[in-house]
Amino acid sequence: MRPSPFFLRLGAVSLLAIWIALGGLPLAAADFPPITAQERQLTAVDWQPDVPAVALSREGILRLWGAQGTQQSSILTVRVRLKVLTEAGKEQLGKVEIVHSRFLRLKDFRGRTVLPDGRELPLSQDSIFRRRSSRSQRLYVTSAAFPGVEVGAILDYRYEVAFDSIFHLDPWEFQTTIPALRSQITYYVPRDLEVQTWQRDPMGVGVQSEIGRDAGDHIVKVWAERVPALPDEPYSFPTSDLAAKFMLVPIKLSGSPLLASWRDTCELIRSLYYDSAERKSGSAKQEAKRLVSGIDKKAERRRAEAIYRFVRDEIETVPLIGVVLSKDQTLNKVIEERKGAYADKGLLLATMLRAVKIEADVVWAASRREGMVDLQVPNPLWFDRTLVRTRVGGEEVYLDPTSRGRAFAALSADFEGTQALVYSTRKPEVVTLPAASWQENLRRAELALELDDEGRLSGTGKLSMSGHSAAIRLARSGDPVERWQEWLGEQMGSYEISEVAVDEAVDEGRLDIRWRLVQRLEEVLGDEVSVSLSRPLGPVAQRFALPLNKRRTPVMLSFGNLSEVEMTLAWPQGWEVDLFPAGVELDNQAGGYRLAVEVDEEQRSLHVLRRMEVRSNQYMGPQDYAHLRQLWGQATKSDAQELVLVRR
Amino acid sequence: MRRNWYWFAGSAPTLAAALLFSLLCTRTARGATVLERTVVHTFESKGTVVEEVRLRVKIDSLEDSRDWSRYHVALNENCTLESAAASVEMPDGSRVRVGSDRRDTLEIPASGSLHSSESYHQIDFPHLPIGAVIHLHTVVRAEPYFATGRIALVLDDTVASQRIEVRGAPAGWRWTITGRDDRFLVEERADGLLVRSEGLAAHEPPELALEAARRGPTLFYGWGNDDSWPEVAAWYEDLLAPLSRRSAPVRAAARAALTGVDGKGDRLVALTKFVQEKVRYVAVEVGVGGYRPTSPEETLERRWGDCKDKSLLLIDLLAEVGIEAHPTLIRASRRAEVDAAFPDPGQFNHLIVAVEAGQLDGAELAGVEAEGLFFLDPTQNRGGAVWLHPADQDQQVLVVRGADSSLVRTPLRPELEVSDLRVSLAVNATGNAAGGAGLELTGSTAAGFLDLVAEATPSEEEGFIRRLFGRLLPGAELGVVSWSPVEGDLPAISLSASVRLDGLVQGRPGGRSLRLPGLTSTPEAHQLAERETAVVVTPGRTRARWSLTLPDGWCPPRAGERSVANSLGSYSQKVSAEGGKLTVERSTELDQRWIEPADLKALQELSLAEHRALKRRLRLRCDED
Repeated sequence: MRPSPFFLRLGAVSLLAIWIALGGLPLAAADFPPITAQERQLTAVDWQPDVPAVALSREGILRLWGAQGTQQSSILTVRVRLKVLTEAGKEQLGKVEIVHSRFLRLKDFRGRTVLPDGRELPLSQDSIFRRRSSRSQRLYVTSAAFPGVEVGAILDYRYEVAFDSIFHLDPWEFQTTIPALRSQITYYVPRDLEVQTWQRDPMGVGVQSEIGRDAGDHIVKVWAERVPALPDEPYSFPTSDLAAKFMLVPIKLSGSPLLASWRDTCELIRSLYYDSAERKSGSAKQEAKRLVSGIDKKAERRRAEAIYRFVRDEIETVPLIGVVLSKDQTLNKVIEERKGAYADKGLLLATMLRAVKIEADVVWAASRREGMVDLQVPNPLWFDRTLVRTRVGGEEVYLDPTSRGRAFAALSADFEGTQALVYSTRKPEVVTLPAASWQENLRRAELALELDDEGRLSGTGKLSMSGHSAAIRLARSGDPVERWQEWLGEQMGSYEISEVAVDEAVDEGRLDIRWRLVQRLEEVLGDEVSVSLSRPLGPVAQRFALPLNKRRTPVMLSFGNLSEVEMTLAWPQGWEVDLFPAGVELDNQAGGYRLAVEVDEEQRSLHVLRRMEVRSNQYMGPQDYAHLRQLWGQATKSDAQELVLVRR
Repeated sequence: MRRNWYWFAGSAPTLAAALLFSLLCTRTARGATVLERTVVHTFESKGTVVEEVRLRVKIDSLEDSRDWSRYHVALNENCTLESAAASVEMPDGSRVRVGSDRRDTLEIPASGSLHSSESYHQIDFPHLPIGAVIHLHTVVRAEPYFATGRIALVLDDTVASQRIEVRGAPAGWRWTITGRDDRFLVEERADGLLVRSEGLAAHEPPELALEAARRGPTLFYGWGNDDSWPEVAAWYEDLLAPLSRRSAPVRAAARAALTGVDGKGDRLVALTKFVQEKVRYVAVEVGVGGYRPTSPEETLERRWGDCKDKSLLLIDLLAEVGIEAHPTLIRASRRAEVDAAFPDPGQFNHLIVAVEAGQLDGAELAGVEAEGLFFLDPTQNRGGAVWLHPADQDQQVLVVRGADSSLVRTPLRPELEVSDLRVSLAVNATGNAAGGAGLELTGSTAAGFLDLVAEATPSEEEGFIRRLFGRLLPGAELGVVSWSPVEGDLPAISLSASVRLDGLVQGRPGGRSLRLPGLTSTPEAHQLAERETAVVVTPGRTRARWSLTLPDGWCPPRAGERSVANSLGSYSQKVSAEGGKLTVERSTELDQRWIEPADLKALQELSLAEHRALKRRLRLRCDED
């Protein structure tokens, strides 16, 4: 009998990720296929020049439990052959690290270096190191340093990982940071297991497949050849979105449903985790009732807010992603220990809301930062976070109680606008999470400056933030006054900053900082003063330095936003404006930039408004990229300009 | 007991890369109140030291609750945990004991190491409400590899009452407190020491300071007869003694690497290059293996090793050609300085090689020579044998050479650390400028750049260059960019970009002016004011030369030169004009690595000159304007 299928939790994910990143594990010399003349002679990859190394082959063989005579577990065998092409490649490939555990049991890790002259250096046992990264959780890291690595050397390695489950819900990624001549995964599927295949090939690598049978097992072989390396460009989409990949999802075992539909998946999670956690939730329910005891029953939103604040602030967030709970987790334990993973906190919040008769659904959400998910495939490992959907005062809101900087009904930018699943064993529902507009993510600075007779500037400043601009800063720990004093000191280095006052209104999603500033004495020239018009929010620097013809991937930013600096400056008699930047107004599909300076010579004062709009967090095509580049280019140029006053 | 030294977690070039592109992060003091801290080191037989730590910590805020939710005890092969008791006194007076289900042992290698024997016993506290008090009592038994120890006297939390004690010290007991002040009441005893303090403020590391000042007051102690630097060297020689040396494969490798190379100087250069380039830097530190190298034969065979493995291999290779070389212990850091008054190998973190210059038939390796010795760092993969990374420069090092072992200061070579910016632009009648910019980097910044691009794709490489010029020339629009290595004995690169700088010259006729951006290499003057601790700077040469072709009829600024020179270095700006071409040359030279408070005025003088010259606009005025 096979054990419960989900106890792998995320272990499979991390192992596979590392294996893919490193290219896989090491074979005794006899186990490695012979090196071909072509492999020996290869010195460069003609279809991808200037790469430090190439994977000659990367192969995985996954024998799911019951296939190919596997009796006790599923076995993943990985074989990798790499070639070092440059000195940099030597450093990049010479070491391997593999994470494993009591669930993902590493076996038969072997390797060798084959020198350009054909000599073979086995990876000796004293060059393989195993350490326990956690004794209590039985997590291990095995690392190795290959011998004799030099340019032209071929590194072979192989390993096996055994795990007691029929699930392996990590896609095989054909692309990594180095190109591969061939990348292949072969699945051996036992006859009583029904599977669904899933693949994605956004860069058009050309994934091919064939299906066959062997001794009653199904064989699914999937491969790609001349696989390019993943592009690594700043502000790009997650690599998970760019890589060609393939996955096999078990949907039925001997006719019994596994992950055939979202309903089946929810049922599986319920029976394995949620039921037992909720069964011991008496303390959570009592706490919920205590929290709302003084609040009018009709004031549904206030009641929900009180519970939300409790889960957000009083239960420490353990940053463990995923929607399944750890073994033996209960909601009472979360309350008692005052700490929980994302999934624990989501489930706790939903249970506590329901305990006071507020409608609440658990929602499984996937972070956009981790890559796009395909909810056509009922894979619970798509998700990173457990949210809660509720309805208060007739309004449907989504709650994420995992960050102390997040207001009620506010979501992290990484989840906004993404597809999520409302967990239900009856009628699971795919929903699109709400998204705030870019204008709501505001940073607005106001500076009132005055120049004195000695040519020294002084004045006051105020910075107001809202939306994500505020939330990410509200989430930070430590003394806010100290933090903002330091930030202002960096952004406005020419000034001494004092009397910093910070108003952190977390529940309103707002942050206000006020301060006084006076130009540092050593900065005072006496007859001339230059003032930046973009500080403290600028000057910005061109983020999209790569020319349009070289950019290959779309752009992803944290969130769209609006930043404004408004400044007034007054000066005494005997001084005059020498220079001020010309006004600028740019508006394109990516955003806008505006700089307006109004000088009133008579009143000896001026007013400046600098405004930058970034209207989205995703920019898909070349035209979008060109507009972004233009926007940042204009802002870079304008922010570098200064206002200059001189003594007459 | 915390292991108080380690062998160079990253090779010198890695540090360069980090320094080139990293931001300095400082940790601010925490807010919890340590009501009571007691640390007692008790000597037992045969040099075993038992460290007992008692802590009572009051949780004053949610931040404290988070910061103290986990406590770690550092362990190693020679440091074992005897016991660890932890409990929490809740605000209502109840007591919660932290059981074994909340304990873990994590084996985590130091940053930059592939593997090590370091581990941490982790105590995971239950919920810590505000007002709760943590009680901790840990006992660790250590068998130090060398007869010294240390105890930090300040924390980044406030400490209401502190008692630090050393008991039962054997013969040869000695101690020192770095950064000592009157907060620490010291009671000296025949077999130890008691240091008491009340109301200690949380330690806030000063910026730009030496490591010792950043760490805060610390008790260093030692015992036994190994109380001199030659004794420390002898201890290291004993560690090396069991290793098989000068084996046949190593000797054969030396001969093979020197085919066609004549002269001892050239042979030294060739063998250093061999170890730097053919043996990868990989650190594995298990127990005393964190101190003792692998045998040169094994290092040669596997072609990887850490600083001590590579150094010992180089020493044996050099021996084969009759060049005697010595292992040399060093604190590789731009921000640290060995305390010569307290001999202790724990002050070092790296091993390099010293060669007596006299045996090299007059060969000149000026960049790495001091006090009649050449210093070679085989972990450097840039610059060959004539350049030392700044982290290795100007350090007191222990040259291990039997009875002649002694501290020697490595050379300081600021003239080899150069940044030279050249901008040549033609200004049009509207004040916009276009042309080219070039940046030549020599020394550690070049080495850092080379390391960075070595693993980068062409587009990443281009991104680095664009960001670099973007920082040097704010507001510039960059066209084609490129770079190339500069051949020679030093790590050096040349970067170039076509540049457009709109609005470089502003203002109407008669009132035109421009401000030329540039690099600064001195700290800002306010960072130096009213300071009582030494400042660490980066010695080197920073130069910029702007050549601007002005439109017909425009008058250049008045020619002139402003310069400041003092014992620390110099700054100069020279403006000259000829036939419509304006040239502005700037140069900063810093000749010292750290500057004592008494010399800060001189540094301020340089800083003001450098920073003010960058701020002031150059006025384009004809004599009649």
